[in-house]
Amino acid sequence: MIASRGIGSAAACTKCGTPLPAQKSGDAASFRCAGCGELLTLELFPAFYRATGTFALGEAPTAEGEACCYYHQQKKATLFCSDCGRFICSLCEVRIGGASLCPTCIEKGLKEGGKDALVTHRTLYDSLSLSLALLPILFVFITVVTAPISIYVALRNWNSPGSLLPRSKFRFVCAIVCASLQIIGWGALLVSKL
Amino acid sequence: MKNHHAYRRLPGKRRTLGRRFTLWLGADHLLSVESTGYSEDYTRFYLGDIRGVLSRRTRNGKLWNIFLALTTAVFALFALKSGSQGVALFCGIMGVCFLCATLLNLLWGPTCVCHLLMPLGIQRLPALDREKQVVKLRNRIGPLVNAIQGSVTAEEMASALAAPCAPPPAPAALRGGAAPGAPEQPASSRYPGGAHWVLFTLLLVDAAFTMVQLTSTSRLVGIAASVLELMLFACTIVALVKQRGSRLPVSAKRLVFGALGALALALIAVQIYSFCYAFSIARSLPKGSDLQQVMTDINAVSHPAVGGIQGVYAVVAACLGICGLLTMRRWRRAEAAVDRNPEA
Repeated sequence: MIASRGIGSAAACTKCGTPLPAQKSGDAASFRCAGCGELLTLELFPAFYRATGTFALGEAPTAEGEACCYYHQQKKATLFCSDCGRFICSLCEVRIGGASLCPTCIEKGLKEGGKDALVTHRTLYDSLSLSLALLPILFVFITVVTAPISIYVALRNWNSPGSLLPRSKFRFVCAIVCASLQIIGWGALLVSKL
Repeated sequence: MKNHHAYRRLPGKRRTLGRRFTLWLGADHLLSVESTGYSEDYTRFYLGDIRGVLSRRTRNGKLWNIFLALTTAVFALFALKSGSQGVALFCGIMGVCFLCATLLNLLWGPTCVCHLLMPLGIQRLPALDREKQVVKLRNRIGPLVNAIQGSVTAEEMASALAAPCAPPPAPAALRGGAAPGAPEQPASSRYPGGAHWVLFTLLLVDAAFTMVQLTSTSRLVGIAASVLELMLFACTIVALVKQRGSRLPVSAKRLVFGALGALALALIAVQIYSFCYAFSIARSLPKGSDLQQVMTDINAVSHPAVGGIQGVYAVVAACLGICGLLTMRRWRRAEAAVDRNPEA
């Protein structure tokens, strides 16, 4: 095990970079920066005082036939991936959201976006669909094209993973209703002209 | 979908042009969300990793208070002194709007920037820009963080405070670069600031032209000012696109937003005034009169309210232009110094 306090362990003024005075954990303290005179408020948590950045190098197998890491044949397996179940050593383990994942599952999760804990970007198709249904109303004639597109986007992405935040299907429903009304309106106009 | 209700909203919401920042509390992490309306980008800060919350008071709130109070005073003055009922009504409504904005700004309290001390450096929380919000955040997450991280013994604290620490990496805004761990900057990071130079110069020229407009009714000056404003808008958009992900100082980037805001506000205010004035005299106009022509003929000389708006705009544009040019000059010198001596 290699332990260090790691980079960035000292607090510094966010304007001039001057190191801030040491203080006790748990109390929010306000003071002026010695470098630039800006008013700063700092609250430190226990992790600030602990040796973090602990890097486990993995242990060598102790006996013949003992389980070894899937990725490092020379290392002893200490746990298994919560996702795929492969044996992994402490060097390969990445803890995300209470689960221990192996590098392959993390890569897969980042690529495919199946794991909420690994998601860093989401497209909001419901907002897109609603905008396609509502904004073109300002230009009237474009709705001939945009209304079907809006319905298509809504139906195509009805089950697509949306925002990570609490959100209902309300926008999708509104988009479909609004776009359908536009199509019905155009249909009625066409029939009346014929 | 199972995670959808796992997040609870935390205090703090900030809007910039086309972006919205919010902060959410998950089971074991904070989620900072940057939303464009059509997409969301997430950054997670695990409670077990958070070493501290650091906030720095900024002057933005005070500056806004001064600007809003001055604008309120200008509109109130025009409302009281104006002879025309339409002008008085318009200036009164605008004055009340700005007064409400001033009071709201006062109510929200001092502004600040908030950072989290993380194992890999200092990370900004863009959703928080008021000290009251930071206090609320600390009160909400403090007990949770302490519960996860456990208590710290006096020995641990003493040894940690006595041990020499690695120098902290400066936050991204200080370095003018990306946050630690951020992907490699695109080619635009080498943007030399051409559009910004042009924009700030144009702002100065536009300020001068607007001052000329205050005393001149010449059509030529009006047309030239309109062309200049169009160029300014185009240049602002180019600058906004170029500055994204570039190494330009934050102050220069903010000035561009300021320029866009000043331009838009001035145009909208003049348009609203023109509509109000046109409608107020519509009944008294003889039949067959062109209302559009009446609105076009409104200028700073014949209408003191328009003169006031344009005067305020000219001063703001001149300040923005001068500040922008000085910032760009300082930045170019700093960049040149770094290029000459990269190790420094």
